[in-house]
Amino acid sequence: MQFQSSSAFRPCCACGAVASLILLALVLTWAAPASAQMTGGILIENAHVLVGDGSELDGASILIRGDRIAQVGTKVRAFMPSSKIDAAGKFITPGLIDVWSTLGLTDGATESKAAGLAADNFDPYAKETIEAAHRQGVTLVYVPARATAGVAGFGAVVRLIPGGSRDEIVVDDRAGLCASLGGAAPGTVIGRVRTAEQMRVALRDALDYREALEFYEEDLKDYLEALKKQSEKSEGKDQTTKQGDKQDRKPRDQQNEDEKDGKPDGKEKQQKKGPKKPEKPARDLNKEALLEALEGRVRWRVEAYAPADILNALDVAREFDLALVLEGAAGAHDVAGQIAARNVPVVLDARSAPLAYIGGVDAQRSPDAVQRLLEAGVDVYFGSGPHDGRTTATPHIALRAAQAVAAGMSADEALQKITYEAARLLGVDDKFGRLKGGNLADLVIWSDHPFAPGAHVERVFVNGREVYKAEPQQQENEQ
Amino acid sequence: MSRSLALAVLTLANAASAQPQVTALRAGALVGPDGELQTPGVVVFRDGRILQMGGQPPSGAKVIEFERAVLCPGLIDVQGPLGAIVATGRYGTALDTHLSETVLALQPQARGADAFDRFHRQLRAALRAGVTTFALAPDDQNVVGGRIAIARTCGPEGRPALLDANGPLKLSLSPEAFKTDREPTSRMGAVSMLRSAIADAARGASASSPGADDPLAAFAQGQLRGILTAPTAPDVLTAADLVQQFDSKLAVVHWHAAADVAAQLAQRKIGAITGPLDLFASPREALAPGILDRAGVEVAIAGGLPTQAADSLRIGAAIAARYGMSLAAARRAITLAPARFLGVDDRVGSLQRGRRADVVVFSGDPLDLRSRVLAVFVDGRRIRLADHSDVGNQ
Repeated sequence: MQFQSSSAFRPCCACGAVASLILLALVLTWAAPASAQMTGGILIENAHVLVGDGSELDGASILIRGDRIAQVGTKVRAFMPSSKIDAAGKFITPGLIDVWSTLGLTDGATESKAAGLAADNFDPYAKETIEAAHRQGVTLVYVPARATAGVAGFGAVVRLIPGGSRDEIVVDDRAGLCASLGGAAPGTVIGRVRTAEQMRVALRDALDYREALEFYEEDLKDYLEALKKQSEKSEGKDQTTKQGDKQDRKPRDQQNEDEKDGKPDGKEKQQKKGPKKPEKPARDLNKEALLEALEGRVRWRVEAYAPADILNALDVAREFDLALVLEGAAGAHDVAGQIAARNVPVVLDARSAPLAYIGGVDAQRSPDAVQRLLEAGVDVYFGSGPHDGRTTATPHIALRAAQAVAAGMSADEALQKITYEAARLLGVDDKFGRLKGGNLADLVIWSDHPFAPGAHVERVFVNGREVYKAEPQQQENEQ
Repeated sequence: MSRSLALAVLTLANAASAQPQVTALRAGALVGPDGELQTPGVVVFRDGRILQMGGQPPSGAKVIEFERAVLCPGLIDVQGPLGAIVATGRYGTALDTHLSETVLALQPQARGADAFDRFHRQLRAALRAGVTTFALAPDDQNVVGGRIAIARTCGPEGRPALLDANGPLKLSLSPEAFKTDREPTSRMGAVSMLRSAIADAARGASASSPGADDPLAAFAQGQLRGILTAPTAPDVLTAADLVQQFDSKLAVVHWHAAADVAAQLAQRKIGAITGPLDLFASPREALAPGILDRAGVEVAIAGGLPTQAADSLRIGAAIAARYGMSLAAARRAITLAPARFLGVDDRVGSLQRGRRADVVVFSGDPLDLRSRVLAVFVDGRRIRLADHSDVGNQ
């Protein structure tokens, strides 16, 4: 996955890292008076660190400098940190990642276009919602573009910085291409067939568009060459044109016409009419968006809520060689074997199976869904999913992971699924998801292990700045 | 000689089999009546009733070992009308609430018990999640809704059954009770109607139901508990007023303005019912149980069955604990507190001697969502958990 909008922080971190290295060398060699770059920073001491990749460090410290984690370990050396936090008895995790959330999105499912960006729909001033997420340790979310059916646009990876500028918050505005198989209105078989077929047509059109562009490039080359030759000819040089060997590169349509008309080749035509400038196909941003997924640069994220829709999504992904991620995936447990066989990750939403329901999506849910998916070997992730019908989208991601432990996942793996593995799924694991030197300083101080009963978030840092601190009332209450 | 000996042995054996078996469950810990985890985790029962909590299993008892598990009283949903909200219509396209009555604003004689479908498979799914007792409360459409029934997901014959058909009186000041085609049409009208109905009943001259067994009169005299839906802070103040004026025992369904009314509730000894809390719960909803508990209010967390997931009670308590409710109070909020609000704490809600032997064995703390249900005992009988016939059913 690419990292397009990271330019905002990339320069500063690059020079920061270089400067730190040079200064570190200076300090170590001559013990010269450390500059502002070298001293300062926030030192969190005596913590139990859950790194995010499955490893743990007891009695460890973390040094934050600027927007980065400078050091993590049991032997952290910090020169005159500007502040120290004693985290004895506390647990520290990377900022949790909600791999599918409608938090901060200003509207629900709409009719949007493949080229649309969910990043444009994210509201960094939804401060209450963002604080609610911080309270649950979540600092990074993937927000989808949503449509009732069809291709909806690019999902974005955003950092939860209240009131942050777009450059600060948007990590990747093309983190996945979102499509829906009738998620919002699951229903008739006719609707299902049409949606899957429309998806195929859109993908085929995008491939045709690419081919047309390729032919155009070739034709353009031929045209320029022909022009060149013509001008050489007109200068009096006798030369045979060598158009024949390029005939096979002509667009298919033209070739067919030629054959139908019984003309031997295009040579005569060319000679008669002289070089004709090829026409450039009109630019189509929606088709270009689809090509991002078709050429494997972004994941193909499909919202589906019925086993039949999931099978359709698997088929479409196989036919077009797309890097599929299934979202919502109610009923996935019924086709778990097929999903596992194709190695497709599944992002489950936060809705659980109610005992009474009115048909629709809820009919596909099962209290044993996670267990059955795990037993089949499916790669399961935990996102909040759409909060349609609810006023808030508080991501209780740690509780979701804890529930997965009850369903048979190991506690280590469950934690990775909301930290490092989540970052990998989103393609941002080079900077997020682990507590390690050089990564961005998004971290959470917990009163206890994040899965433990009554565990709560005490402090949250994003980009090296404290964005949430629990009120004393709650800290006193811990047991 | 040998024949008489054989006879004596036979008689002894008969006597032993007539005496019900004493069973002891031994685990790592148990949830005490105060909600704290305590050791040793031993519960002894006979004939469906608890004989002993803690201590050592008596000699001769059949001991079932659960090693490091935690024994918890059967969970209680104070607002979980199982078997009374069901999908109907040919294609299951409507959710019928059999507890919803919308014509008469005052119907103290209506009974939740009459809406109960004890054969519905929802009950089995809830039982597997450890819910043994639940309330069928008339919903919020009427100012005086009727009698709440208390039922069990598994009764004496292995079938769901009623524990108490004539439970507390359900009252409502919810906007749902304000209609355009009948009185009351506003909060003011609703409060006025409620006050005068109770006052009339207290004077023994109830217009709606003359007679000695008037639930409103019993409520006014403090002989019958009430549960009042009071969404806003003024509703709670009205409730506090009622309790002061009449000597009523009341719990309110409230979480909207917990911080504003907590002191009032504590002072008047009015309990609070919060929740259900699902995995989208807002901080405001999730903080309410802790705020009320710290102020000294007894708090129950509703599970909202059957429109929520089977393990909704535990999820609600786990979320409340994350938002500052003490662990003990959170455990109590889904066991003893709802039993008290429903007036059945002498029978269920704790593992104390004399209570029904409803025990849920969790692999760890019930508030820890990593824990699984290992076994469920109802009236001392172990439930077959492997029966998945309920899965995927409405």
